[in-house]
Amino acid sequence: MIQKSEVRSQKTETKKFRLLLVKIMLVGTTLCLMAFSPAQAYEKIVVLYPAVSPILIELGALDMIVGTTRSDHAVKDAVKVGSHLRPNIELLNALAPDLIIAGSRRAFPEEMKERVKADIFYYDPATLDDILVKIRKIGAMLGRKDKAENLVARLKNMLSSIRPLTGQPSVIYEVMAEPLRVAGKKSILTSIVSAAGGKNLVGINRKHAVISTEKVLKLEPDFYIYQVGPMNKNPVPPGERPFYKSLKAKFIRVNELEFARPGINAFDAVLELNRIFREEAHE
Amino acid sequence: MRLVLLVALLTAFVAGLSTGAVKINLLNMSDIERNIFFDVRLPRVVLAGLVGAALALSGVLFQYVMKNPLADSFTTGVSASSAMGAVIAIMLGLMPYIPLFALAGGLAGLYLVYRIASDRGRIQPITMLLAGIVLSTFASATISFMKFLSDDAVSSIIFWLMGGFQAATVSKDMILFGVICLSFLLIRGDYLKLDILCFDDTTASSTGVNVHRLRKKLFFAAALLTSFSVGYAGIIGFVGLIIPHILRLGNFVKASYLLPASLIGGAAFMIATDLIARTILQEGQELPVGVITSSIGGVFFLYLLIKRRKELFYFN
Amino acid sequence: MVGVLGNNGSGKSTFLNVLSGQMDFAGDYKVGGRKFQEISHTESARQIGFLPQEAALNMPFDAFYVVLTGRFIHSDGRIYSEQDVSQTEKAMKRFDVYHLKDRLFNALSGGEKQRVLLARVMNMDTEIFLLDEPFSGIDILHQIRIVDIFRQLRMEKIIMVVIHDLSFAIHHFSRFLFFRDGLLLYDMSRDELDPQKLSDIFGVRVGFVEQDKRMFVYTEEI
Repeated sequence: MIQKSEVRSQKTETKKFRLLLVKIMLVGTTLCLMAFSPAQAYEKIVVLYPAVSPILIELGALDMIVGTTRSDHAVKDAVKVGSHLRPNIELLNALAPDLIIAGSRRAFPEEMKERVKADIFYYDPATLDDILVKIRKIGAMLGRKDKAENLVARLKNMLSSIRPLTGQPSVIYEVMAEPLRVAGKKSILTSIVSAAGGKNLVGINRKHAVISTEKVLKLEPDFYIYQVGPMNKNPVPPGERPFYKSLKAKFIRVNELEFARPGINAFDAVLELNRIFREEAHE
Repeated sequence: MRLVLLVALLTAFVAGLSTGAVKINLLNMSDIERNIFFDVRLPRVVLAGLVGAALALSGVLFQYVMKNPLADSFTTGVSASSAMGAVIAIMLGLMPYIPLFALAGGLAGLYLVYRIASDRGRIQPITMLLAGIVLSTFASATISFMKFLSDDAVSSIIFWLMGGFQAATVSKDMILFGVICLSFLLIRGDYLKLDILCFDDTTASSTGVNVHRLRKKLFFAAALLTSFSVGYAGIIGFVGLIIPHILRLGNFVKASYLLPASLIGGAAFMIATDLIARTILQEGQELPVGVITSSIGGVFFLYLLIKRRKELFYFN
Repeated sequence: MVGVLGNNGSGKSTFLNVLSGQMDFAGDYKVGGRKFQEISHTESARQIGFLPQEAALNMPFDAFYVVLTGRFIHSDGRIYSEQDVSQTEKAMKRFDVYHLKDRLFNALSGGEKQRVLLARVMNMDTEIFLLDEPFSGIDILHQIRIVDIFRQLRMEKIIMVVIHDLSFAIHHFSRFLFFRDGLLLYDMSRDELDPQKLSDIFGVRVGFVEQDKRMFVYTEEI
């Protein structure tokens, strides 16, 4: 692509010369594409992190997804290659992907990497900005920079539409009820909450932290958000838990798949949360 | 010696109540502090104590049933089958019913082991030990399978299995207290028989003890204690094994001393380990209590084994 | 005082186990005028004191407590009375094991253990004592002392003893049960003993020699 732009800058000279150059350019680009296309624009992708699939769909790359995990419901036609922690290596190799998008190094460690031919891209954003960065990177990898820029612009626009709140509501976000695990500083939720105008009271420098219920009472959050989903299947509503009897927080129930997955949905979650904050402030 | 135990329990109780993730001025509590103290800390310390007492007592009872100093709720399979019940509940997303499922699993495991190990109503200790180990293995395999099926609930299952008292409530405390009282009353009149049960079966039986009926009763009481403990606090290892052993080394040998002492000792140990589990990390973070019991208990037990091997040797 | 004799595996222990109710059996026998199958477990323990051939203990009890547990049937089931304790002291002194009372049972020597267990059974103070090889591992001095105790009791109690030493048995016992191949072959008094029958029972040639008005038995392989 760099060659292309260099060639383009010289294009303004004589018409004849330009035609010749156009010819060279065309041949060159074709050669380049033939030689480097697998490294430059991937075409067969396995997604091992479900939050990525909606991004690929937005980039118009649905057809490129050849494999997903079994819990990925965004993509219907792809082969299910197992779970995100234990994908089946044989199935992976049989699909002959040129790119695998995995969640984290822990979910897809080095020794797994050695057993597949494809390149690996790790998608584990910790903040909303990070999601945008990652979208741009994926766009570049798939040769769809423009679409990626459009998506980024659209998402940024969503954030700018957020209306400011009068105060800054404090939040504790329950990831799992038993044992009690809450979102820590490194969780995407901290970013979501602050973008929505609130503040995550848990400052522990981890994604999730198992904390004492004493601490929850002591922190006195304005909102106690609890997610319901695979991680927290059917928790007892916090209002009915005896040890939260004196907790004055408003209990908000959210869908784990819409909130806790760091993908496009995170931006919808920000709007949703902002709306909740505003409505509650009204009352 | 009894006094030492009581003092230990009292110390652990007071320390447990006065320390925690949140500093509380006990003499002059604010509203929040009062809520934390009565809604969270007190039920939790009490639950820890009760679970410790139940596990230690069930360990002692299993050791009488099996005639084996290594017996506890793990070797008998009751623990693992309770856990299996609980994990099924987690899988199905029936969180509020975890204790119920654990109880059902424990009792099902108890029935199975009992059926396998009893011949015409007589429990055969060795067969029971083998049946228990088989059941444990089977239950663990089932748990692994369920973990495999539900990647997202995995950490929930793992954390739950490691045990903890976070979800303590007054009603749980009261139920477990009732169960302990019931089991204790059931066997309170049998101290002398328990001692005689330590002889071989023929000697015990000809001395006037109905060995088989007594074993059934002990087994039932122990399984009940284990199932409720697992249901409320997950799997907490080592307590049922080390507390009775430590007490025996401390000369609590006769059942009339050993049983009450294991209740008190188990409670004190568990309150202390839970205190460590919930205060060792910063900012109100917690460790699973099973990690603490196993590490502290294991090291201490190893020390005893090495220093006082001779006394232990006399068990057989 | 009844001596129970016979080769290994001839059914002596089984016989004692059955009589004491430790083994299920068909048929019945009467004890104290009542059918055995009809009396309760506790009742049978009150009637019959049984010393099995091998005993084991897997708890570090001291010797005194081991002997004390023999009083279980006399206790209220919850606690041993003063009387139980004093009886125990008496039994231990009688069997010359009182000096061992604070030692751990499992730390005693084989003979000492056996004497403690004997003291324990006798401490049950039952009408009938069934003792399976009570003399095994016990030194000669104590064997004589023990058999002397049996003799003092013989008018009030039935004492049935499995024993292998023929000379010792013939000298001290007055009635004998002989077992062979699972069958009770003879029930004889001392006067009825006959070298031919004994040879038949044990499968060795048995002869009697009388010296100083005492009967000695010699044996040799056929």
